[in-house]
Amino acid sequence: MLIVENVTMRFGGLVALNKISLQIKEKEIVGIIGPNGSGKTTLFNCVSGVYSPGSGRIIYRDHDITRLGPEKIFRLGIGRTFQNIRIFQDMTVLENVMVGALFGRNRNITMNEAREKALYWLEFVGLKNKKDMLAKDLPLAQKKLIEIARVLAANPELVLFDEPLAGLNPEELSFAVKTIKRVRDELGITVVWVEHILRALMKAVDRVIVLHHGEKIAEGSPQEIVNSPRVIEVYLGKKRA
Amino acid sequence: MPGWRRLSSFFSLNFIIILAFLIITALLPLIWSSHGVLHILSIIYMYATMTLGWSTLAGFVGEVSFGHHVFFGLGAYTTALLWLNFRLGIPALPISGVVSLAFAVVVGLLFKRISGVVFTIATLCISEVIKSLFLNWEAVGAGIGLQLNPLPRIPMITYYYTILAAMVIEAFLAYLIRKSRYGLALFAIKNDPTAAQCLGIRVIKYKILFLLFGAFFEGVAGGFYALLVCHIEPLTAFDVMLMLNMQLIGLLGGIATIWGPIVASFLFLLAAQYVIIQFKEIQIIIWGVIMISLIKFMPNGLAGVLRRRI
Amino acid sequence: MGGIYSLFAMGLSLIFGVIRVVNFAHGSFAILAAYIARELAIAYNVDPFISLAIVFPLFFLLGLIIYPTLVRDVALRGGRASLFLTFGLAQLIDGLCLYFWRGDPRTIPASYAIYIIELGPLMLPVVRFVSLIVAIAVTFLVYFFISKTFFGKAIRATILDREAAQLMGININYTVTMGFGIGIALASLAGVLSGIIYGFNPGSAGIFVFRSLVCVVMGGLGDPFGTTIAAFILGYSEAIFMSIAPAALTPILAFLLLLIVLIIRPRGIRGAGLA
Repeated sequence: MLIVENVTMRFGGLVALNKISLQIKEKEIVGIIGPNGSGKTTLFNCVSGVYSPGSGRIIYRDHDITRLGPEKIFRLGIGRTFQNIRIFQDMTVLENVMVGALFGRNRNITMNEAREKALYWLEFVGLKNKKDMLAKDLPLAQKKLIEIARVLAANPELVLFDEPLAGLNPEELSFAVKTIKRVRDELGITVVWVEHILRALMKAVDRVIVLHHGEKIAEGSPQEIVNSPRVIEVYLGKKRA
Repeated sequence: MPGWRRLSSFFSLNFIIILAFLIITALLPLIWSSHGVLHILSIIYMYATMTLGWSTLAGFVGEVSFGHHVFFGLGAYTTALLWLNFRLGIPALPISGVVSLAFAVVVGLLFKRISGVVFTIATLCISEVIKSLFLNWEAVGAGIGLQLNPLPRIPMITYYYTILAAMVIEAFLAYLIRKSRYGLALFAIKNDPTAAQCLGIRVIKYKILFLLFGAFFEGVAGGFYALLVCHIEPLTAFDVMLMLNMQLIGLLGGIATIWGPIVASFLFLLAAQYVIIQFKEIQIIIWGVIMISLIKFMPNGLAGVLRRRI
Repeated sequence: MGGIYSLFAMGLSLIFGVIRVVNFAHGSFAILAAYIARELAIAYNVDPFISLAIVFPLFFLLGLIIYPTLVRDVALRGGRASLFLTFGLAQLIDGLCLYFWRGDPRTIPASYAIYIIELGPLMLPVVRFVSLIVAIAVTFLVYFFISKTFFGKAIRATILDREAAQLMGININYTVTMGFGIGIALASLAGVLSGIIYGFNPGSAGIFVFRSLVCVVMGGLGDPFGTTIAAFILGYSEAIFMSIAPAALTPILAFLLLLIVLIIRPRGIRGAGLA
């Protein structure tokens, strides 16, 4: 479904992604892990169109999306959440999700229909009772849920979750993981998930890809990755350095 | 958007105020038909119309244009030419609006990918360029400009109602847009443009939309000006002071609101009447001081001040 | 002429680099400097080039004062507000100049303005020659300062990545204020030099700003070197243009150049700008 082919991304002298290649199949849950600075968010930014890679190609369902802008890429079906949560702070929870519904991939709906959809998705993530609160007034965990509801309301086919579990307590964490799994299991949406909190991720994904210094250094099932000496070295080795 | 939601909960109050305003302004000439008063009010409405166009682009979309007066000037010239060649009076106004709109389309396409400071600079550039063009264009009078001969015999009352109508229509349209889904999108863009883009909102579309919207009404205002003063030249029609005043009024009123520029127009022009400044230099100085103070102390204009109280 | 533009544009770029604000008042400062230099020349018979040594530190200090009082809060707030602030500042200064000195064109007289030197095939008036030397010298000095001295590097670091610079222990406030001061001082230099050669009036501020804004954007926002290149390109194209077309149309040239650059390379000539 999504093919990243030899993508390189530079910032000045810094090479964030170095000829990276990977593939995502439909309806998978794929986890992407790696130490800080390995290029995970940059990868997401390239795929979602926020950055334009220096070289290489990104292909989504036979469309070459390498140089497309974020709006067009979204219209094709790729949605995302953000590492440092980008909800619309000064709008209510309901309005946030309504934006997703109104401008997502089903745009021919009335305001009232959008409201209904938004309510539905708020229910899905469990925030229905907070719908009229200002987004900025909610605690972190719920802000993340707003983002999820919003992107789901926009009807994507593939969602990139960027470190959705950061900063959550154990209870919130397991709820978030459950919700993400539901996204694939109940909705059939392909999930690509960048994460630092390895234990939670490993239990939920089908497959893991490991990045380091902008390159893919390992790929496989969670079992394989956890036991891979190279991966262990990369994580522990980093600590020593 | 706090203002938006409060609007719905205070629905009756705002509605009454607006209705009152409309009734008063509509009936005013019947009570008080002094030429001078109507003249001043017309100028106020003209400025309000101009400023609203500019401030919607700045306040709703977040793009500051330093060149909006170019649309005004184009409208003025169009109307002048239409009068001189076809004796078109008031009907020339919408046509001028369309001409400005057409130019705005060109500008919008050219500046599609430009935003932020660069956009501001580019709009400034284009207005300077157009001004130079007109200064040297013999066919439209070059430096001397155009004189509307014979003078249009339009009663003050007609002027008054025309520009009032323009202002009201513009405000109403802006309101409709804001309440619609586009309003929501705009607010999203204002909150976080990247997130909005990743949800499929085409920021460029909105930018162009408001550019066109403002340009049309700017053109109408320019045409109105031409009919009113009957003489236009590049230095006045494309006068930087116009833009400066527009910005001041916009900032004073609060650029993200609709009523802000309108109220500020009143305040500003009424104040200007009482403080008749003799020398242009002092005018500029005062303008500068006001601008700086506004930014430092009242960045959201009156709207900001009031919001803090509520 | 390119030399003068580049001084001016460097200052503008510098200020933009450190506080991410385009200083619309840059031109006004330059003109103010020209007026002051003129006063010095007329009232106290100070040679214009000597007055540079007075004007430069004066405006540096002026910048140091203006930044914390007027500019800092707004600049830190981000957003479009700072545009209006500097714009307002520009009007304020322009207005003051207009008020004190009226609007007629002036020049800064130098006693040896009429002499010409011969440089091979070229016949240059002395003033132009000296100005060019001053411009080049200052440019080199600035580059030297920025690349070699510690402080210069601090400024560069702040331009590139403010937070990182802060984390490294650089006192941002101090650095930025200094940067602002230097920027203004550079503007004042450009103003005086231009005043010597070309004469000026309060309207010149607008022209200066207009042209240099074009240069800054053409060269790439935040890229002083690109701006310098753009300045030279603009200066020389204008000279050529003016000999074949009516002078009043020159803004169009600037604008066209800008447009072309913006469409082809939105990040500036060297491609290193912020766009």
